[in-house]
Amino acid sequence: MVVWLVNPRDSAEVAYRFVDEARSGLPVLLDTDSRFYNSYPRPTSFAPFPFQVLIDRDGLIRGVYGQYDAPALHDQIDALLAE
Amino acid sequence: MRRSAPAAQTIGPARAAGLLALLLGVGCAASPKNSGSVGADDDGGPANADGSGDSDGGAGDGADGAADGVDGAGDGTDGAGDGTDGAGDGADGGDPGEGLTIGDPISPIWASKISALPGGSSFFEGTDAAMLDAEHALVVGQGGWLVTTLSGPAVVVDADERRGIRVASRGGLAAIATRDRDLILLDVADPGAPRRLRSVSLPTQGEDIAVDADRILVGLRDEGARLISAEGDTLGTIPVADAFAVALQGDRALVTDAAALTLWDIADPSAPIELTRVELSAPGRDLSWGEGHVAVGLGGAGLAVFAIEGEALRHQGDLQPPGAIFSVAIDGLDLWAAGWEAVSLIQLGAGPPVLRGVQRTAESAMGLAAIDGRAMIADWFSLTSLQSNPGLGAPTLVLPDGLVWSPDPELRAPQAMTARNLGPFPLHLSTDAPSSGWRLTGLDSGGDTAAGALRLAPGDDAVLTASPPSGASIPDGGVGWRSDDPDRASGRLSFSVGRGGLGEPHPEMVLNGFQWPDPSGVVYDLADQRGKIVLLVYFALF
Repeated sequence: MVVWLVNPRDSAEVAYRFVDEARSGLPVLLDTDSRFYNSYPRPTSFAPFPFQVLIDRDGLIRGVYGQYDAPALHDQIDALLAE
Repeated sequence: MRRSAPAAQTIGPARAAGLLALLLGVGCAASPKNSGSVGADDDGGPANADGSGDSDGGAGDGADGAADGVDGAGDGTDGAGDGTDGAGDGADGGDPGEGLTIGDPISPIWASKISALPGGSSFFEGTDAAMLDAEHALVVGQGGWLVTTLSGPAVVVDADERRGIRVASRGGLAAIATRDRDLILLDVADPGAPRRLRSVSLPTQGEDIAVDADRILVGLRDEGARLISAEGDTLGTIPVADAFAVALQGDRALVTDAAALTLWDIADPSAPIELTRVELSAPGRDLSWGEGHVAVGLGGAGLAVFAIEGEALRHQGDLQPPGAIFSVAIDGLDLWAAGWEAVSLIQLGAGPPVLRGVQRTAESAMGLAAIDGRAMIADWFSLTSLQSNPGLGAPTLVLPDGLVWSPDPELRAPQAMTARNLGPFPLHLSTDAPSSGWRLTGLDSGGDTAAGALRLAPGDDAVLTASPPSGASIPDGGVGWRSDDPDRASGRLSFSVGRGGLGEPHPEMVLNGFQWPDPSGVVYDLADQRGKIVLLVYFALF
């Protein structure tokens, strides 16, 4: 399983210097202009961040998850790993 | 002046008819938007392509409440005596709402708009505000800082000095922390002509600032909380690991870290003495101290209120207003809280804090400041000042969104949620016979209530269950509900298609990036990951 961080707001320099998440050592992708960030189907009332997009082995979007959806995300990851 | 109908324990026929009209409007607007998100908004506002139209959705309700709530504003006893009056008005007002941004009229049951103006620069992104006097506010943002009037609107000064994140001011001295690890000190004795005093380099970004009596306290994470003179000299450091939010009054300082709020005696700044420590349920992100109360913004965990009694902090209660609370401001017994999607006004007193009203915002309400019953709010793209109406309040419904529907019947499960009344008056919640196929149960004594109603006393909550429809096609809308919260008179719980569901290929994605600690650029292509499960985690600097 691959985890990528995607930053749709900040410059590379800001993301590198100031964002704590970047220091996890995970790849940080810069979604300049929020092009991908704005493309996902999302329920209303999402806090802007964080949110997660889960993509399966065939490249299909399998779920979009907000701040409070951790259990659903974990379940879906388990289901995908079992496929 | 039109008077409201007397409060009723359940929704009466007249009110129900008005509600039905609203719901019909919802039904018309709640057509599926796209394959991913088919939930409708609070009152069936235009469906956004990306499904993120919650603030639009609140428009009709908010404007209805505003039109009717003028009654309450003009005659304090009307709204104050019985909060459910406002509810009936909000539902049957019938004035079509226009798109609501934070700059539009809001429900004056609890507050009224004074002014709104665009952020000073095209790329302002306001993040915090401080009052300079009763009429002037200093607002900082990514695009600079500016001084504006509350009753204007008028931007008095617009400084193109980028990347401000936090600001504080008292007694003619203002301090701005920037993302570039600077602390900018301003002489604001004349708010119309602020004068830059100096810039002080900080070892790390200042997360929060407090100013009192020519001294500045800055939360510097692992560097502790640093006390700095107006001349820019370091007077001392409060040794708190992961110091974040700070407050300062005379020889007393408050600091939050990841787990606690601590009160310090800084009479000798070179040797601060810890007086008391209370645990917090989440890291404190902002502090406000006034009138013997301390409010702590806890991000997604809401906020906590303490009474400060000598050298002790007495916990008065927690509250979870909508959104994530990153900015709080105490003004007398009013507590204002900014939480991304909403601005909340909370009543402080001897007992637990009580939510009086919620105003949903167009963008992200990042920071605010308040004085004399008025607040200046730094929204992402606009500035708004609000006026609190003393003594008035409204029942306030908190009902989560985010139901999930799966195309796979095996994965469809009833989903529990909690409805809460955070306002000072009783709240009624009801649902119609569900045309979409969703069923909402728990609205009365355990039965399956197609048209049931639930009464929530102030502070009460109730567990509801939403059961997905059994058909094979994506439901036509979510779960419809009505309440007598004037800001949320009716709506539908939206849902997303999840758990085995969305099924569309992710767009081709080739992005530049990096991998800590190497700052050099790397190109990432999602196509290279075919055959692996990929989790994209979207994040940003707050």
